[in-house]
Amino acid sequence: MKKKLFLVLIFLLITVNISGCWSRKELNEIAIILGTGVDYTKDNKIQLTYQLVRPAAFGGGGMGGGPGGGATMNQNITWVVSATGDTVFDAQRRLSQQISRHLYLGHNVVLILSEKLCRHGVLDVINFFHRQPLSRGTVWVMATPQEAKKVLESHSELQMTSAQAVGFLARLRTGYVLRFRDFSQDLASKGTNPVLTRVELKRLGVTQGPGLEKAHHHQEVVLTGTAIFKGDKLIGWLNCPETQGLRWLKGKVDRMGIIVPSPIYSGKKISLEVMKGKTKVEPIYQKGKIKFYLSTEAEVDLIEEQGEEDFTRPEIIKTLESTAAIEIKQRVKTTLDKVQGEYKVDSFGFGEAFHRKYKREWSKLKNRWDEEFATAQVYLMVKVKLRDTGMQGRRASLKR
Amino acid sequence: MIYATLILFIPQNTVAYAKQDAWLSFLIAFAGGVLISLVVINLSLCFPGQTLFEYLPLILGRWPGKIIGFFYVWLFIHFCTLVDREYCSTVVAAFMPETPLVVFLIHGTIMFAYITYCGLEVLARINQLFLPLNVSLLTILFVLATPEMKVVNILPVFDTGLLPLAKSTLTPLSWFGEIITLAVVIPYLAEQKNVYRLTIKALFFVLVLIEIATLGVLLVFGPTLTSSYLFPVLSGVKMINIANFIERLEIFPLIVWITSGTVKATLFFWAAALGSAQLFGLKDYRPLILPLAVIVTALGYLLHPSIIDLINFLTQAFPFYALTFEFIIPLLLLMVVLIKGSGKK
Repeated sequence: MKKKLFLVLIFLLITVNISGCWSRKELNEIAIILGTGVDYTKDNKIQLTYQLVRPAAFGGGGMGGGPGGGATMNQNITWVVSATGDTVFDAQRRLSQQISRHLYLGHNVVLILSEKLCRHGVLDVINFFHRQPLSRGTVWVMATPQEAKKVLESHSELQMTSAQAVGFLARLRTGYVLRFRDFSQDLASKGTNPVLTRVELKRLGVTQGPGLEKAHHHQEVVLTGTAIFKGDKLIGWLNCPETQGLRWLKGKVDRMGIIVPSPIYSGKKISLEVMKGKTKVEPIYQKGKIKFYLSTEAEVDLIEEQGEEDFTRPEIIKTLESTAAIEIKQRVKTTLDKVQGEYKVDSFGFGEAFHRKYKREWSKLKNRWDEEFATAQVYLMVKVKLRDTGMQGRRASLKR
Repeated sequence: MIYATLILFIPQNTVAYAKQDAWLSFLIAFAGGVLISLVVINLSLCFPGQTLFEYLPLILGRWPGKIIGFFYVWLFIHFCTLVDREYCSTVVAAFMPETPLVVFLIHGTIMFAYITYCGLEVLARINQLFLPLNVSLLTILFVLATPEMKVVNILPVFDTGLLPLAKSTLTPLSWFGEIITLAVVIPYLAEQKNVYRLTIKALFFVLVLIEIATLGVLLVFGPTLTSSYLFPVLSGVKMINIANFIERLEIFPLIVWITSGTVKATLFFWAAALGSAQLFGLKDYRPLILPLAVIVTALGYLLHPSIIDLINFLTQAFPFYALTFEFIIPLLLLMVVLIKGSGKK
């Protein structure tokens, strides 16, 4: 009898437990956020923008999307809402009074911060995304010179939503991109200043199709460079070529293109693609002077040539390699001049490299590292290796 | 019968002191843990077949022994409560903020009580079931997180100096010190001869698991960010994203936490039940399970107002409090035994 009672008790307990939990949020009760934007309004308030997705548009039959495809015309896929408040949560509270579902941050792809907010300082808003249990370190963080709200109020031609498009764009790593975790790490570190990817909503391309003969101009979110921070405040931008230099300095150069002048035929160019590259930073601290020796190694593939170099000959390859090295050096120098010379900040993590080598000296220098860095000498050594020449050795039209 | 301690897998505050050298402090703590376990084993082997609560009166005399024994019962109750509370708080803070804490506490305690009711062997079998699962899960998670890891995050080594490193060792040491439970378990082990080997093996095993978690988290986040997170392992697992496909794996560390926490808390619960039964001269500890369960649930709810308070206690007060019972008292007992020569060996 006692045993039976006990069994009943256990069954009851199991029923209670597996039937669901207290904090359940069913799929049809949540509003999935794909993009988040934060602006700083004129009256010093925080404007929070969410790009919410309308899930029904995703499921919609074979006609519309198809895997990874764009959406059918005249269908609302996303809903961009925004509200202002004194804090991020204040703004979100206001939003949740207007939206009939729980705002669900767990699938957020991108966090876009506007220039005005960045110039004011990002520490005011970043903490919300740390403390939220649902928010993730894998979110791409970006800065925009436009209004973050405007950037999110867009759609993509290839992806379902512009937020996802930006996410996929970032994954390709064609620019310098970083995620929330990296950004927070840089923010917390004294040995480096954070940078952010710069995005803009740009008029891009023309959409065409049957029935669309009257050309539709389309606006898409694109990567246009890098934002340079000092502490948590934005102080300037880098354009795309300068971002390439930054990528060399950070050692993240995979799939980057380099266009070099032909070493033999004047006026002709050669395209190379970086397959593998890394940069080693070696700090030297002598008599109160800081020097950095950078050694960069890159493996490149030949993509095209305009001239008629014969790449079956080793000496031609040698010449090309040194030309490419000079080009890379030039890139890096431009960026260094701008960041170290003009903005006077260390955005490259050189301070951390210094810390790794000079533990004791670092504790004295760390609080005025940017000033110290501004006077530091940086020497650069680039080694390029041509790995592949594509499907051809020498040109077919080569006259011998 | 296999016995392995399972230690909380959250390397929290150690990182705040030792920064990128936190993994070193676990190594040091491991050495301390071995020392503690040697003391405890030697003590136990002097009284074969008897638990801590039985030989305490033999060493110290009837009443002082009972009083110290009572403290140990309290210690095990407290350990059990803490473990219970840690896991329940984690679930509440990170997964289900709307659910009242007490719901999880009650569920947890019912489970401990039931397992204890079934006896030590059932507990060991459960551990046998969960341990391979947990080890493989942790290893897999570590491997999956490798793309996010950067070696520079744990460099330079020995950055903070000796004092912070020593400070950071205390909390993990007190966790390793929970091996004191051996004093109650040893008489029930099937292979008495291999106790030394088994214990060192178990401790080493725990060390490896902790290092996987600690190094993993440090490599992913670096010291500054790690010390700011309440649950670094959880945040670390959230970073895993392989091909936009293998991601959102937070449930796996939760599985590891819950299963290992259950085993750990139940062991303490069992020790407390057995201890109090032996203290009061009862033949069976089962009648004591219900009152103990009530005490554990109530304490779990009342001891700490918030998770911050819990973590502060664990990192600041707990090491001194726990190490007194885990190391100092056993050591004194061992000395008394050796001087008096009372023991059967």
